[in-house]
Formats: sequence, structure tokens, C-alpha cells
Amino acid sequence: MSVLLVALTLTSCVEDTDYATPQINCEEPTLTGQEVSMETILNQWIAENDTDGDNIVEYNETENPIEFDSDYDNYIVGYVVSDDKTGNFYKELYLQNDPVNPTKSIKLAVDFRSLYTKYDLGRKVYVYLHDLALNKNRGEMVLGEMINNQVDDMRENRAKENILRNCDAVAVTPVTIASPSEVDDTYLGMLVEFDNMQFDLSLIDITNPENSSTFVDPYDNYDSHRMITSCDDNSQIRLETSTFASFKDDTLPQGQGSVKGVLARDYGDNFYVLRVSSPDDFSFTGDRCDPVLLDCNNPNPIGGSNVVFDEDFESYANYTTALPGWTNTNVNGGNNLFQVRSYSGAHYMQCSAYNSGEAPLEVWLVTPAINLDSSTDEELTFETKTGYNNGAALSVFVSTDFTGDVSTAEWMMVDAEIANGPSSGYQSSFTSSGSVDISCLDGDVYVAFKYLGGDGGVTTTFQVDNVKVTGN
Amino acid sequence: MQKFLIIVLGLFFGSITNAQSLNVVKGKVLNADTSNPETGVKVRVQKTDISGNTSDDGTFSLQNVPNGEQIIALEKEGFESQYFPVTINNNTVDLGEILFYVDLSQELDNSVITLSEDDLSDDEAGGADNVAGILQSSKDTYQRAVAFNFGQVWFKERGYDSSYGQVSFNGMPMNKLSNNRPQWSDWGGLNDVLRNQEFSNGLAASESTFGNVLGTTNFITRASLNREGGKVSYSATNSNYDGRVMASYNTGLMDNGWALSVLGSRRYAQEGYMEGSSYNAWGGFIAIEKVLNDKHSFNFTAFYTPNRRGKNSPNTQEVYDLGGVKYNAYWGWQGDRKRNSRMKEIKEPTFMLGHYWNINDKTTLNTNIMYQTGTIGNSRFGYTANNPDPTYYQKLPSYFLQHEGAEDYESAYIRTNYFLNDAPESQVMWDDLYEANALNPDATYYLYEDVNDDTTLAVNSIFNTQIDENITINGSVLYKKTSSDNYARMMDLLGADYFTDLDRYATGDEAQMDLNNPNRQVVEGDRFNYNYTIDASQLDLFAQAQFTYDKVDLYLAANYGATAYQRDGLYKNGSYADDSFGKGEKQQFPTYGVKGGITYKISGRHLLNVNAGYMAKAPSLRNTYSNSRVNQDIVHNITSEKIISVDASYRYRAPGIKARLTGYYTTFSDLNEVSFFYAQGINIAGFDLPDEVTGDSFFLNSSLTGISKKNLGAEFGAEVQVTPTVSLTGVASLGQYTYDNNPDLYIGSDQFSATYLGTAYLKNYKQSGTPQQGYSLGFSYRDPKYWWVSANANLLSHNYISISPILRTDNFYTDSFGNPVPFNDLSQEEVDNYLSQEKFDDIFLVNLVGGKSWKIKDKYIGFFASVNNLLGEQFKTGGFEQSRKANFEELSTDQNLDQPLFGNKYWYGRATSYYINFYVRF
Repeated sequence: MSVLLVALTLTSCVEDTDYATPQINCEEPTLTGQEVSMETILNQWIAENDTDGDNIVEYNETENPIEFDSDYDNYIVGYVVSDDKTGNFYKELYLQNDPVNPTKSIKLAVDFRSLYTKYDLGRKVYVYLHDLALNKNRGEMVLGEMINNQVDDMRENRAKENILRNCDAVAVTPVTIASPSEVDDTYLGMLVEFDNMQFDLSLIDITNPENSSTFVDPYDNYDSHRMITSCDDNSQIRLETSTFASFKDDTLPQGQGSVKGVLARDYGDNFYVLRVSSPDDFSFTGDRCDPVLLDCNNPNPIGGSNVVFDEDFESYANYTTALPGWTNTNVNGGNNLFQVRSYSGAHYMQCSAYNSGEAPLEVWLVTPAINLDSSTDEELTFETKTGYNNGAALSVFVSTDFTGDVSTAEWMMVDAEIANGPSSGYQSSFTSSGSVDISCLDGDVYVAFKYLGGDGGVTTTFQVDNVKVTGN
Repeated sequence: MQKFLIIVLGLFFGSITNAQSLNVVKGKVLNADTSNPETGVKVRVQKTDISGNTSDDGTFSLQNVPNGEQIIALEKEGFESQYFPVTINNNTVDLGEILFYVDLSQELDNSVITLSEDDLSDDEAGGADNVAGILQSSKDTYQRAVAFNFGQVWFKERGYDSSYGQVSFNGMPMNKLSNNRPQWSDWGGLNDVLRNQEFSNGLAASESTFGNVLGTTNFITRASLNREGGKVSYSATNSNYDGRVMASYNTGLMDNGWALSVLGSRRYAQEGYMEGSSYNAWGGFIAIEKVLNDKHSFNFTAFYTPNRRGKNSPNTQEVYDLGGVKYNAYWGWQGDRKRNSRMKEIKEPTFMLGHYWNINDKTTLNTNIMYQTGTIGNSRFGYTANNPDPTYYQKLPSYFLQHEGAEDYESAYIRTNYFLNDAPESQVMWDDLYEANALNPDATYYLYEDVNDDTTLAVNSIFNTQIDENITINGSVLYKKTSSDNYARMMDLLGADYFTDLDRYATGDEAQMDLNNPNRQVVEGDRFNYNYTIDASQLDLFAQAQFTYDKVDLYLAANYGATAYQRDGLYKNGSYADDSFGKGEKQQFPTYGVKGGITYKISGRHLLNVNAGYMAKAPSLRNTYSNSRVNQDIVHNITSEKIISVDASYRYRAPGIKARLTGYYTTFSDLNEVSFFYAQGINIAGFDLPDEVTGDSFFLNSSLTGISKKNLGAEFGAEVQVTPTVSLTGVASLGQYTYDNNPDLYIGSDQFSATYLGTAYLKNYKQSGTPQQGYSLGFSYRDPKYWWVSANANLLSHNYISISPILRTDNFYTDSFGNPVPFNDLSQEEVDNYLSQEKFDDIFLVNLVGGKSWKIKDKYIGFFASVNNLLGEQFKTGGFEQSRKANFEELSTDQNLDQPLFGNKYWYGRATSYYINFYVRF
């Protein structure tokens, strides 16, 4: 009996714990067919659509997909440069053809999430082209599956069959671009890096960094765009962050430094954007390069009945650019300047990069000398208004050593309220600058309105009116 | 067996005894368990008027037995009847010592305990629980049918949840505070030492406790009450385990005043009835009693039944159609082993010390102290990427076919074939999870355990005195204190290095699970996610008087007490920074009740019995806190549950026939139900919320408050002894269990605190989790050669799905713009159509049971076998509506699909299953 019991007990062993961790033995995929370069298939697409023979597919030419048959056995090789762990990339995988010196890139559209669990950053992948199709979509070259006559996300089963992983993930060295002004289509879809960058001052609260703007504007429904400015040439690029990104409510890093991300196009294919995988892609550890703010700190009330300077532009005709005593200059030598415009009979100065053909567009409008020797407790006021606002472009400075060349003078930024209106249409009224204390300045003082935007970038229309200095 | 031997001896004696005495049959009946003389056994010669009873020393002697072949019948209620064929020829036949056995069919309880332990409910909405275990020791024809025949379809007597039945050990209540239900697994596999049971049906008087409306089962574990001897048994079955080995030994009360009972058992299955469900249980029991003298005795009992098993998933009909009714989504291949992601482990050793004091002949005082400590864990996946559930809606064929005109037939075909071909993709893909983790040190997938560590200390004293021959007074005092530690424990990082303890659906501080330890990196064995303690205490005073007279028996009982809960949060949750950490307000619930009953004996054959009671019970912990893992919030307007119950019975007893007819009416009020789910289509326009809270999809905690339920019906049970060897039973239960009011529904999420959503229009919807009607016909044959077989056929009907309350609120009738539905050409009837409650198909079950035993030398060997659901019917035992599609637009869109994505989820019962038990007694 006891023998029976022992036997039964032994056979009653239940293995329900202590599962060995599986050996993740990566096996290199068995490759059949030939590698074709990204360049080959991208050129094939150009050849398909370039009707005028200039090797460029302009917007007025066709954008027909090229499809690969189900018996087409060749593949492209790419390295993953996007990481969807935080949710900032969604059902998409950016590939470039080399981890260090890329020349081409292609985006894969796939119909599932959490790609980082299989195709992590730097992973070398082989993408078999059979049953796939390539086309330009919203400014980017996308490889997907033909569904309902368009290149759509490839289905999970298709992706599993066509995208094979190499066992290695390598370090991807981002391509350094000197500044946003250097950006062009050759970098599109690649991991790029900019140095000496910082978020636009309007987004950052210097004294209370925790009150700075977050990656995503709470009022945005899909993607948020936050302007990053180069300290080298003031050119700008938008950071695009999805409202589904896990770091959407983190505050923007306040310092200056380098940022890396995938260079992409916005949804409307209107401008370039930078898309990061996580806030770790910022290394904004240096001090900001904001212009010096004028801080007079006068304990007395400022402003008074003594009007030192007052310009409402009512005496000038529309489209005038040369105002007596004023300096109106395009620092890059372009044709666009501040112009007199009027609305409902009121005249003001206006500048916009929209359809300017200039990127960047930098225009300075400087007042005549305003002498403050015979007054005290002076106050500067002005009014601004925006139209079709897609980013801050106007900043206001003062100088006491301006001699006609804006690049040689020492400018101090003033802490004034600048209009920030809706993205569509014009604001209904001007925004007052508020009281700007310039009482600590003496002698000839110049006030400058600097417009910095760019066609294809920030194109906000800015209007300036009622520039006034009063004192006692 | 031994009886067989006696017959042989009887025949032998019958043939050789000298015919000097005149036609006498005599013998002595002993209780097989205690070896004590069994008095009051009716002994008769069949087909004659000759009969008698055994006397105090167990002996009997029948005179003037006619010559010829006769059958001597020995019968006593609760024992196996025995029949001895003898040949009388002017002589005396001495049948010698006859061991009288408690009804052999006690082995049946093996299958009942198995059912009770299933505890399918877990945390899923609307799951079933089982009351069969509570009824197993009843001798009533009806209740035996409910326990043994209806149990397999989760039939609940009178529709009562098992939380309305009380299970005690030596008078000490054992129901858990978390859900007020008995935790059967804590004494699973101890069958052979838990034979001494007292059962009080419904409101009927129990000696030790006020009890509850379903009744009280009291296990008595005094070692001195167990017959000297041992038993070894082996069972084979294809239910949730494959095999069971059990061995026990009792010394009986020895000369030195000591008595000892021990038991060890093992139940196991690498894979039980459902795919991927393992079963791994041990049982150990010891009881030591020292009888000091006539007045004082001490009994120490300890038992420990560690149990770990793999659970099985409720599934939508689409999944059952693809994977079969044994399909279980919880397991997957890891290497060449099946691994279940949802394991349930229960390890709660229990220790009791009892003092039995016979103050005098008429008065006893029994005092117990009980200590129980241990852990209950339920494992599941945590993940920050795609849901690893192979039946996640985005992985099923229906997902790819949902858009009419844009069906993705190719993907649907591939998914369908995964299931049809039992491809690894139709189960959990463990290797994929390890691979994903190999790429990221911070775990993308991990296995964790929801742990509930309860430590209970309880003391009670039970007083019993017989004032005179007519009046007995009972009383008891109970104080119970439980400290309940609840937390998530990291079980397996699946190859990752750590997991950062953050809520990936929230951002900033709100994502922190513990603001006091932000961004903590969790490793295996660590607590994380949530961590809190609840201190619960219960005080109960009980008094009862029982009166027994010739024509009338009656009793009156009352109890009074209080139950208190207090939560102590150990984590400061980022989403509830203000009310998650530290001690919350103490919640106190008064508990009291009065009940009484009267039995009027019209004659020995006809009895009338009426019981009535009113009681207030504390809500369970689970239904008191609306989201206890993360905050201190209490269910709105919470109060004690109130129960009013009345029943009336007519009993008929005659030789060869017994029958009972009962009508009952019970109302429950002030009940609460707390549940958690993700819902789409919640209109928060009327809520007072900050602007940034937008959208209509939330993970909700929902509390339904002030629920009233009404249970009424009739029960009938009859047993007819057609011949000495054949008996027939007939049982019928007609119930109607409904919601009796329109309770209030409150919802909260991590973006807003509990807010009144509106009235849930539930009145007259059916309660779920049990067939409301059941019928059984049984046939039993008991051969004089000591084997028996019985068969029964059962019809169970009127079983309904558990409804989702949020679908029955005004929110359902509001579209996403806040406009009322129905509108335009949609009629109210068409809208209401989507809310009709699913009624499951009737179930027809045929069961076979039988057994036989032999004596070999001084050992007894026997077997018992049963086959349940002989016809192999596939049937649903229960199910629930999903709450995900919470308004008409959402629900109708989903339901109008050929295959809804969020259809009802079901549990299926077992097709044919068997249970065979072999045993040796010595």
C-alpha cells in the first residue's frame, strides 16, 4: 500500500512553476533573392512620375505608386531610426540606408503598434518588396501595402512575412545639420541632429521653468508644434509631438544644446518637422542664448504727459516702405520689407513671410532717434496684431548705439506683450505692448521691430502701430 | 466486504445451528465509525409484520420468524440500510456483530467539494459561485439533488449567493471578509476528516450561530469523535484534476484520554479538463484532543491546503466557435511546456484551539480561538505594449471583417486558421514577450500577482443549556479581527532587468504609483502598483431559545454586533495624491437580526413549518470601497445590507415515502456592487469637471448602490421506496430571482472622482449565475449483495446572463452630442431590443453513480464511481455582458456586426466527466 502511495505521489508531480527563461537565440534570416538599394526603388518611382524629365517630381506631376509583384523576391536593407515606445511614432517605421552615412530613407507604414518590441532603434532589417507598394504620401516616401488603390499600412501578417530582422542593432549616428536653415529633402526621414538649439522664448518661463509650456498644447487634438530656434542663425524648426506621446505633458527643456530626431514633414506637407523618440533626445544642458532683456527697474511711476515720440503711420500711403528717419532693412538682401497697410481706414506697418520666397526672412524696422535727455521716467508703448499665426516671428529691441547698420549695434530686447492670434484669419483688434520701462536710457534711443520667419516655415503676418514714448 | 462475510456466516450458521430454539433471528448492531452500539435501528422481516428495534446495547432478537427464505432488513435514517437473506428452519440464526455504516454515498461529496473550489467568479463581472458545498451534508432529498445533480451547472438554492451561507469549523464562522463567501480551497482535499458535519437549512436554528438565509454548515473536528482506524483512497477523474491520493488515520479516544486524527492528501493535474489548466494541491490536517475528565476537554486542530491552479478564460461565442468549448486563452507554449498566465494560489494555514466544558449534564460551554494567516495570489500579465491576450479583439477574425465593403478577408482567414490549426498564435506567445523584453531593460511585458495576505485572529464562546425537557437556550459571542494586506507583486520580469512603476496611461505626477518613491525600478518579488492594508473587525452576540413540545416545536433567535473596516494606504498614488496615502476614515456597519420558526406536527406523518427572519449584514470589503487599490473612496451612501426572508413548508413522512413542499420569499435591499471596466460612449457633459477632462472613453470604477433583489419560489422533493431495493426521487424547483428596484450608478476614473451617472433601470431584470428552474428524476437500486447504482435525469432552465448596469442608464439613451436616443425613425422598442437579457438554453443532464465494497481479511475495500453529463451536452453555465460599448450608438454598431467585437462572454460547463474513487479502510 505504501509503495502504491509513493508511486502515486511521484507520478502526481505537477510542473507549474520554474519556467526557464527561453534562450533568445537569434538566427540570422535566410535571405533569398537580391538586395536592391533604396535609391534604386526611389529612382524607379521618380521615373514613373517624372513627366518632364528633370529627375524631380514636382507637385504638379503625377504621384502614382509603384507596386511589387508577389513573386518579386528582392529586398531593401535599412536601419530603424524611429522608436515608438513613447507613442510619439504611430504605426510607422523610419528606415535609412546606412547607420552612419545615410543617403536615402524610406518610411514603412504598418498596421500595428509597439514596433519597438521587434524593430528597435538601430535594428538592421530586410524588407522584402513583394506585395508592397511605394508612393509619396504627405511629402514622405512610404512603403506599404496596396489597399483600395492606395498605399496603406501593411497588415500585421504581411509585415511579419516581409520585414525580417538581423540579429544586430547598431548605434545610429545622427546626421548633423548646421542649422534649420540648412534643412532640405535630402535629410528627410533620417535621424538628424542640430546643435546650439533652444525652444522659443515665448514657450519658456525663465524664472519658473516648471511653468514653461509642455510638449503638447492641451488645446491641440492631434499633433503639437513647438518652435526650436538656432542660437547660431536664429533659424527655426518645429518640434512635432503627438497628443498620444507619453511625454506630452512634460515641460519643454529650458536650456540650450543639441537635439536629435527624425526629420519629417507635417501632416499637411507644409513644412519640415523634427520628431523625437523621447525627451532623452534633447541635451539642452547649456545656458540659453536669449537676447539681453532691458531691465530699468524704475521705482517711480513711468510715462507722463510729455510725449517724446508718437507715430501712428496715418500719414503714409499704402505699400510705402521708406519712411523718413526710419530704417527698414532686409538683412539677407531680399526684397521683402515692412510695408504700410491699412484696414478700415487705420494705417500700420506690416510684414509677412507668406509667399515671400525667402527662408529665412529677417526684416528690421527701426525708429528714428528718440532723444530722452529732456525727459524722465520714460515709457515705451506700441501695439501689435497677427494674421494667420503659425508661430512667433516678431521681437522688439532698443539700442543707444545704432548708426544705421542693425548688425553692428548692441540691441537689448524689451519685455513687451506681443500679439499671438489665431492660426486662421486676423485678430479683431491690436494687442497693447503694455508699459515698457525705458527710463534708464538716455540720449538717442532707437526702437527696432524684428521680423524673423521664412517661407515654408513661420509665415505669421505681423502688424505694428502706435509706437509711442512718453515721460515727465 | 464485511457485510458480505456476515451473510456468508449467517447462511453458514443458519444451516448448521441446532433447531432447539424456535425460529429466532438475533444480532448486535455497532456503529462502524465509533464501534459503539447503535440503538434505534429498525429490524424487520420483509413481507411480514415481524419487526423490532435495537436496544441500548445494540442487540435485537426477532421471534417467530416463519420458516423458509427470509430477508431481514435493518434500517435507520442516515445510515445504509442492510438486508440479510437467511434460511430459517425451526432454528436460531445469530447474525453476530453487524457494523452499521453511515450512508455510503458520502463519497459523493468528493465531487461536490471539487465544484465548490472552482470559484470561477474571481474578479470577473457576473461570474458564478457555488453553493453546493454548503448543502452537501443535508439529508433532505431536495437539497441532495441540488448539491449532487445540479451543482455542476452552478445551481444556487433559492438563487442565494454563497455569501448568504455560512461555513463554520467547530462553530467558528470561516467566511472571508473580502467577499463574505466561504473560501473552500482552505479545506479542500480534507474530505475524510470532515465527515462530522451539522447542517442547518435556511433560517433554521443552528446551535452556534445566528447564521444566514442560505443555511449553516458546521464542520466538527474533534479527534475523539472519529472512529479508530485509517483510510487510504485514490481517485481518478477528468475534472479540474486528474488524480487524488488521500490517507488518514484516527486513533479514536484512547485510554489515556488522548485522541489524534491526521490526514494527508494530494490532488494534481498537469492539465485539467480545460486546456492549459494545471492543478497542484496538497492537504494536511491534524487534530489532537485531550479529554481531561468528564467536564473538560481540549482539541487542537490545524490544517493547511496549499493549492495552485491554472485558471481558464471566459470567452465570446466567436472564440468558442473557433477554439472549441475547452479553449482557454490564458496559456501558451513556453518551450515545450504549456504555461498558464493566470495562476491562482491559495495558502492559508488555519489553527484552532477549542475548549469543551460540560458545566453540568445540561449545560456546555465551548470556547475557540482561531488563527489563520496566509496568502491568496492571482497572477496576470502587465504590459506597456500590445495586449498579449490571444483573444484580444484586434486579433480575432471579427476585427478584420467589421467594416462592410472593406473587409480584410485575408487577415481574417489567417486568424481563423491560427485557431483551427491550434497554431501557437492562438495562445499566449511567451517567446515573443521574452524577445520584446530582451530589447528593452525596462520590462515591456511582465507577470505579476494580485496578492491578498489576510491574517485573522478570532475568539468565540458558544453556550448551550437545557433548561428543562422542553426548553434549550443557546448563545455565542464572537470577536474576529482581520488584517488584510493587498498589493501587486512582481512575479516574473520575463527576462527584463526591471520595471519602472508608472501608469503608462497617465503623464507627469499622475503617472506615479507612489509619489513617495517616484520612478521606482521594481524587480522580481517587489511590491508595486498598489499597496494597502485594511483592518477589519467583527463583533457578534447571539442568543436563541428553542422549545420542543408534542405538537409544536419553535425557536426564537437574535443577534447584534458591528463590523468595521479601515483602509491604510501605503502608496501615495499620483492620480489620487490627496486621498490615497495613510489611514482613511473608519467605516462601521451595525449588524443585527431576529428570526423565529415554528413546526406544527399535525401528526407523525404531516408537519407544517414556517420560518421568518429579518437581518442586517455588513457589506463585504469588496463592495464597500469603490477603488480601494488607489484611494480611500467609499461607495456612496453605503449602509448595512437588509434581508427579509419567509418560508413555509409542508412535510409528509410515511413508511417508504417522504416528501417536502416549500414556498419562500426573500428580499435583499441596500446591496452594492463595485466593478471596473473600460467603457466607450460615456457622456460627461453634465458632470462638474475641469475643462481639460474631455472625451467619452474612460477606464471606470463603477458602483451600483442601493440595489434591491427579490427571490421567490417553490421547492418540492420526494423520495419513494418502491421496493426494498429500488427507490425513486423527484425534485422540482421553480424560482423567480429578479432585481426589485432601479438602483443608482456612480462612476469614477483617474480623471474624475465618483460621480452620479443616473438611475440604472434594472427592475424586473433577472438575477444571473443560476438556473432559476430545475427538475430532477432519480432512480436508485441498492442490491442486497452490497452494491448500489443510481441514475438521475435533470432539466435546468431559466438561466440568464449577468447584465451590465451602465447600459441601462440614461447615458445609454444619449448620443455623443448629448441628444436623446431614440430619435428620428428609431423607435423605443428598437432601442430596447439591444438590452433584452440573454436567456441560456435549457440543459438536460443525465448522471450515473454507483459503488461497491468488499472485506478482505480485516480491511474493507471499495469503490465509488460517477459519470456526470452522460449525454455529453455542451452548455453555458454563466456569462456576462461586456460594458465596453456604453451607449446606443456604440452598442448597436457593434451588435449589428455579423460577429460583434465585444459580445457577451461565457463559461461553458463540462461535457461528460467521470470520477472514480477506490478506498481501503482499516
